[in-house]
Amino acid sequence: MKFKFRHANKIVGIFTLVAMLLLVIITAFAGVSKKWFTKKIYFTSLFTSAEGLKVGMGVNLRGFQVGRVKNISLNADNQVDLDFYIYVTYHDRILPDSVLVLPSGLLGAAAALEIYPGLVEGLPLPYGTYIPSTQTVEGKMLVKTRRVDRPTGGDAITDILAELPEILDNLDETIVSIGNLSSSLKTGIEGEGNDAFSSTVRNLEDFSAGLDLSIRDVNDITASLANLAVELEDPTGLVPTLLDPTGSLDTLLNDDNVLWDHILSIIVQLEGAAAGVNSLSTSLAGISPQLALTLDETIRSLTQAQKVMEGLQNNPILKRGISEETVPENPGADTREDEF
Amino acid sequence: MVETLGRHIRQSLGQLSYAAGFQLFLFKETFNFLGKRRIGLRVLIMQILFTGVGALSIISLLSLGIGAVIIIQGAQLPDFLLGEQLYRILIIVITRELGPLLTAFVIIARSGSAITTELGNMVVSHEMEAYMSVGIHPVSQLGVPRLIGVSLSMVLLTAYSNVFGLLGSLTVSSILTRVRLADHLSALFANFYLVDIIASITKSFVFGIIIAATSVYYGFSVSGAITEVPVKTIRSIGVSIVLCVIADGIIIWFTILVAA
Amino acid sequence: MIEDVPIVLDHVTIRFEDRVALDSLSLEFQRGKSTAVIGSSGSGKSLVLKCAAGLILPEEGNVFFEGGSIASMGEGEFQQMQARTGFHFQDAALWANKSLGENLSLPLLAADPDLSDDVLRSKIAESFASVKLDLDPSLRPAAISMGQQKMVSFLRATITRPEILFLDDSLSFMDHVSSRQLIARIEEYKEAGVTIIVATHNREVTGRLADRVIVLSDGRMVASGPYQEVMSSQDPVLLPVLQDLV
Repeated sequence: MKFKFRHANKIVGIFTLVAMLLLVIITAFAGVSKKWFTKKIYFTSLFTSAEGLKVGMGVNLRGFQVGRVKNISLNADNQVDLDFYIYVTYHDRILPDSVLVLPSGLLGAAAALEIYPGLVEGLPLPYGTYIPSTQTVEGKMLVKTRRVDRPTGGDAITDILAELPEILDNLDETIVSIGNLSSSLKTGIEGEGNDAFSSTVRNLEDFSAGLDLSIRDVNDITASLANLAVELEDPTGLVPTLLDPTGSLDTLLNDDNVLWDHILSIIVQLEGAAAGVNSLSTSLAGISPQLALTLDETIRSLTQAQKVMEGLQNNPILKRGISEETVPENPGADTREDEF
Repeated sequence: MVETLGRHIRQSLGQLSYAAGFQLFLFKETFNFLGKRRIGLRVLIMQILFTGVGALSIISLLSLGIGAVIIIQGAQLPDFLLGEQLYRILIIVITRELGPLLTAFVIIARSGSAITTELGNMVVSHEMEAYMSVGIHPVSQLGVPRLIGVSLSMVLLTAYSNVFGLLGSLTVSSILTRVRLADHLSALFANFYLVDIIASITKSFVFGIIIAATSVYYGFSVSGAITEVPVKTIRSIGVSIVLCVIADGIIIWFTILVAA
Repeated sequence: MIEDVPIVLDHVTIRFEDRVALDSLSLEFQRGKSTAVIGSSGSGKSLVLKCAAGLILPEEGNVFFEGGSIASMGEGEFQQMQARTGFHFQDAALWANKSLGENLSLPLLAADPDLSDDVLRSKIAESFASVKLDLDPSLRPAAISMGQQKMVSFLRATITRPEILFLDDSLSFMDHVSSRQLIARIEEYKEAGVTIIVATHNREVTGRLADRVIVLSDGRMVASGPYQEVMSSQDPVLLPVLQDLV
């Protein structure tokens, strides 16, 4: 029996080194493809729900991965704090006014978040900056007011699908606001007008004319109605301030007429002094049926639009089935085509 | 009958406590090994030579084949399972499961049995007593380098096994699918996570310790007759396999627990 | 007392399954004296030596080395004890996967891990020369004859210059010339004051080396005393044992 032990140390050394080298190479390659060694710029964002969000999910810019979600947590205000990072190579595109979007996926949750960079010229946002998501009012406004670089270019349905959650949100809000508005208007008209109301009604008069014209353009309606709703909800807004410095329109409608009686007394006092009030109330009476009709019509078409949208979202197979021509009753589709 | 049962239980408990004491001593001595490495270093190098380098060819061949077979079988699946998911499955199966476990089985068959036989024969030929007579504890002299050598070899061999397994699968899939090897590689690395590498190393290291500790224990448990050696070897192989599979289960359970 | 009697076996019992190999055996080994343990095959001679050397722990009873129980010794203590004793195995028991050189250097390194390779080499050469062995230290035990292996095993036991030497049937497997050489070496150690405990069948070895003889039969001590006294005994129990000596 012969032994060749002279090179044992060398052989074992080579065996060990090569194995370790292989491990290091695999780790390094995996690391490079995972961008472990790329510097990351961290940002934060806010969502209303963690549904569809996942730690580690990508952050895409026009479909190209530029970052990842680092952490998701429920904060003290029951909002979802989201920490994410952008690879340093793409940092220069994250300009002020950028918005984070959770697209609605065709098969359940989306695989990645989308970032719409702001269109403002200037320096990129620094480390740790808060970037709003479209689940916040701030983010919605940025998208609405077209201050972000938002990808288009697919077919109309794709574009709609991309914006579905947003539109559905807006529709819900709008329908609620319109409901509130019409009931408050009715009350206002029944109680006749004071200065505050006449101004509101005058606003509404203009607005109703606008509604008539833009009934086909759901997006614009929702935008302006959302604006209105924001204004109405805003405690420092015009209408509530005039009516009641401590409350919103809601207080006015739900306080067992205490405030209302107070307003009535003011109205009675004003009645004598203001001559124009009578003519105004007459004209208001004239407008109100027309206004009510317009509003009813708006609600109907919006509800219809919502159903179509929901149908689209719930049946991803329809995406292929519905061509742009076969959904002419969908005002959203036309709107998007007109817009872009 | 009650007496027999009682004696049996007492013997089993005695054996268990002896085994626990033996392993405790083995691990304690392993930690002491670094301090007095001069005597054991040569044994350690030899152990890596026999366990690691010696098994390299069979491990490489086995992994190449298994990797290739996974791709060939995967190609039979409906199209939607192909693509990115297949790479992930490949990585999980090869690096996390088959790599460490197959290597462990090969090492049990090659080195585990060899260790038990060798140590058993040394007991029979009084070589163990000779170690004691010169003031060297045979468990520290013979057990420790084998424990370290086998666990190191397991980790190193698993690294080779992973590389060859993935290489085999890539070669076959680039033949089957006419996709460039470079594209395969980049897709593969994109699906490779640090967790995979850590899980692979952890498993192979744990398996190595189990194999070495078990075969060393059974080797030393030979009490003097040459006929005991094959009996103990067979038992050591069986126990090593069972313990490796149990440890595999525990590590998987632990990984899932950590991931959740 | 302890100074004079370094090793004491106190009611030592060893069993192999149901067979009693050593039966509550008590005996003492005196310092500077040589003791021969004789008895027929299977009488337990080897076991007595291994127990006394601490290589086997008895199931019952105690073995004391310089007053301390071997069973309760710490590792360091045990190692120190082993460094002061040497054991020549009946079947050589050289480490088969180590070279002859390694077989001889390991006891030296166990006693002093800092010894340099040069010192080791010269000690090994010196050791080979002392018994006129001309062997390549890089050979493995399997490459040399059993007689040579036994000689190397003796060198391994004595290379650390122990105070107590256990010789388990040292002359077995050895040719005449080697046997003479070995006995001469053992006598040198004896003259140097080394305590020698030898298990043997050999009348000559017993006669030349033993100050005292212990006779074992079936794990029990049947006689003990000075060589002449035991050898001239007419005890019917002893006679077959004494006649058995070669």
